[in-house]
Amino acid sequence: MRSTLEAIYRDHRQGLFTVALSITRKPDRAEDAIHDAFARLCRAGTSPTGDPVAYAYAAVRNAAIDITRKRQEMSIDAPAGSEGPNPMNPLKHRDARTNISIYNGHDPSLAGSDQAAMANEKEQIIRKAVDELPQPQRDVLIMKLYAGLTFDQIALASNEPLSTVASRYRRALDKLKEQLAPIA
Amino acid sequence: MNDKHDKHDKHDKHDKHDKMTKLNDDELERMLQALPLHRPSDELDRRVLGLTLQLQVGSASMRLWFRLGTALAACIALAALVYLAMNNRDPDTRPNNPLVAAPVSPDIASDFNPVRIEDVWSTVQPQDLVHIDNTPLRRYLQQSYERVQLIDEERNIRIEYTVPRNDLIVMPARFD
Repeated sequence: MRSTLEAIYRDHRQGLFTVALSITRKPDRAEDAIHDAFARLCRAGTSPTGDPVAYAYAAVRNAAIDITRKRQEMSIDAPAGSEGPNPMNPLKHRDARTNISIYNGHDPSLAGSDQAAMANEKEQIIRKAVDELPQPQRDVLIMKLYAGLTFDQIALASNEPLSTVASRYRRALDKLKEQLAPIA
Repeated sequence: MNDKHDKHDKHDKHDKHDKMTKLNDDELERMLQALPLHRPSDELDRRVLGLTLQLQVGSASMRLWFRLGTALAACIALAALVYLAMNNRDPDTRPNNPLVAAPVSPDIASDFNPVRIEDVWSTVQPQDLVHIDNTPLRRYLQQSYERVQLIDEERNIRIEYTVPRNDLIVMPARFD
């Protein structure tokens, strides 16, 4: 079990982190989620019956959702419709401002040039389009593109039927095509 | 003027549609995959790989304890077998060496003059009824502990031993 977990972590380190980050929107919480998930898997000790990679992704995803839910429960909800900083809840306002995308800015080698400005703008549009996808579609897209999972593995990891996963991916691609066509 | 504007709009829409159709799934996937992603820190490696290392150490120590326990159990079993073999021999083959008291230094033996204190605790609990020769009898279990202390304050010697004892007493049952 130890060697299996270690191998999964080494092979899917980036994918696991991206999946967790897309849910938590905070790098430190994403890392906490991965740590918690692997700690649980280590404690469990037994090998999963199905696909171990899908099992690890499911554990990380659940841990990320748990952490995010706990943080939301800890913060006091802001009054409905309030846009500005809430003096009663500075944490929530700060959290909303510091949400991190899974993407890491533009290529620093192009900094300062027109090319860099264009690349940056293009990335901003793509980032916005991906971030605006509904969470279930975004999850499937990230697990497919950035974690390299098959639809079967995604279905196992997200505990959804295969057809649902495939149709979510299709819808996500269609929506992105529509939004990104002008910059293609 | 309006016609010209409409034509321009139609041209824009047509152009956009063309671009949409041109952007196929593979291109879109490649475009998305080309974007740099946030990377996890090296600290995460230490944390997660540390976990699996702990698991390894834990398993190794568990295996070691298991082996030690097995070895200890085997030693006890062997000792018990040897003991049983020695004590279940025929009287003819048993070595003829009765227990001999260990020699005591004459100085110590003559000077040892302890005070003897005896304490006895006992409880009696009624048990079930038995019939012997058609006479109903009740059994009583008497559990007692006898503690003997031998104290020689002059020589600062103190010996203490406790003897547990169970006696089964049978008395005629009375039905009042």
